[in-house]
Amino acid sequence: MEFELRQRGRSAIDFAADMGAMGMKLSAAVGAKIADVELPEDFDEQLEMMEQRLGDNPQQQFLLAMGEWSATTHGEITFDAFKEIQPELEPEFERLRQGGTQIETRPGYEPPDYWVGVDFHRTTGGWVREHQGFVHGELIHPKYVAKNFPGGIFKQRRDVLNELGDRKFSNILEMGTSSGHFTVALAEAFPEAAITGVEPGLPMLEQAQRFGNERGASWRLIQASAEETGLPDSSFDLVTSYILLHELPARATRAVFVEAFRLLEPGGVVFMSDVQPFRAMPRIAQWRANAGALRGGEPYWREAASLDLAALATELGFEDARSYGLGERQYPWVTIARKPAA
Amino acid sequence: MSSQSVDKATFQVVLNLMHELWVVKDRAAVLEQALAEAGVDVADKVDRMQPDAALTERLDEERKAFISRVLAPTLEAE
Ligand SMILES: C[S@@+](CC[C@H](N)C(=O)[O-])C[C@H]1O[C@@H](n2cnc3c(N)ncnc32)[C@H](O)[C@@H]1O
Repeated sequence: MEFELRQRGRSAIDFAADMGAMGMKLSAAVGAKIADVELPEDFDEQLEMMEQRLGDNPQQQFLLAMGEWSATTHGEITFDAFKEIQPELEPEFERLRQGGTQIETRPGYEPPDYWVGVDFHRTTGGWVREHQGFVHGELIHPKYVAKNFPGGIFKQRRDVLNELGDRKFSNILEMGTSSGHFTVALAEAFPEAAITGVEPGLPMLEQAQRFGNERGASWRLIQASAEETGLPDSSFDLVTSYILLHELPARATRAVFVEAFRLLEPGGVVFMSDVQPFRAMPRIAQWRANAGALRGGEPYWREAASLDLAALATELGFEDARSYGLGERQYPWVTIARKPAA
Repeated sequence: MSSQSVDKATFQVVLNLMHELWVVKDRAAVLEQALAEAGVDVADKVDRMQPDAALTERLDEERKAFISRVLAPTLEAE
């Protein structure tokens, strides 16, 4: 969507993004001080040991304070930037409600209990605040997250799809559609495919709808939970998600794989991209991930990164399940498996 | 800032001030350009002005330098 931020909104977002870069410098300074540390295996003991070791380290204190500032203000800064231009966006919103991409809601839908009332990423109202879709999809991701994301988050959404090889998919279900950035990547990679997206947050789907109608696509967007889509058995050849699973408790991830199995036709593929599991990390990275998740509004990261998704998929009946990291950084982590042919 | 411990609340305030101050600094730079170009309805013009490539580059550079300068003590503290 074409829009022009006001001076205040634009410069406040740019500032917040560059503070993130400053945080990375401080983090490197802290990292140099703990290069020799030998951490225990247990995550709580890791946190405790580092607390003792770094408790009065000034860089670490500044880093935590900056992290706190970013976590608690980025949502408001971007929301304020949106408010400044909201009146001129409304006609655009209206225009982009028209088209082949439509949102389906179901009477009596209840979002998952682990999702309701949680301010993910510590942004006020989590995924349900009105207009969070625009704020997340047009401001937070492109103008804030993307600025400091190693390798580029938009490129990553496209790159992961290379792991699917040459196979052309024609019926794709995306779980955790959010504001639709991965949906766009899927549509570009598989221009002929019919795409369905499920997501509990209505404001998020509103933005996904705009991205869809903007490109003349006919996506079916449904306000539903990934573990209970209400869609028919064997109706997709690809079920996929990008950075959904770390927002789910382990029990929900199991339910999601069970649902994916049911929804796939024989020979269909499940393909999930998400954070690195702890078993692939050195202990110092485990500590960093756990500490970051605790402070960054990621209540389920720890249990999610403790799972072995290939083993889970195999246990649930999938074949050829593989789980591995991409590129030099081994990030993100993809899991790919096939439902047995009939 | 030598070996003093950091008062977290104070630092939040400092960061908030930095945030506000940067917005003003940025605005002043844009204002100069706007004034040079027109001289009328400057406030609205500044508000709506979309910096061109050269100004964007200048603001990017100055913002990064500003952040590094004000926060230099945090990297140097022992
Ligand atoms: C980090 S975002 C996903 C980002 C998106 N795929 C993208 O590429 O930008 C996670 C999304 O998953 C959604 N979500 C959380 N629990 C879910 C569930 N049980 N079923 C479907 N979506 C869920 C959240 O509401 C949120 O919009």
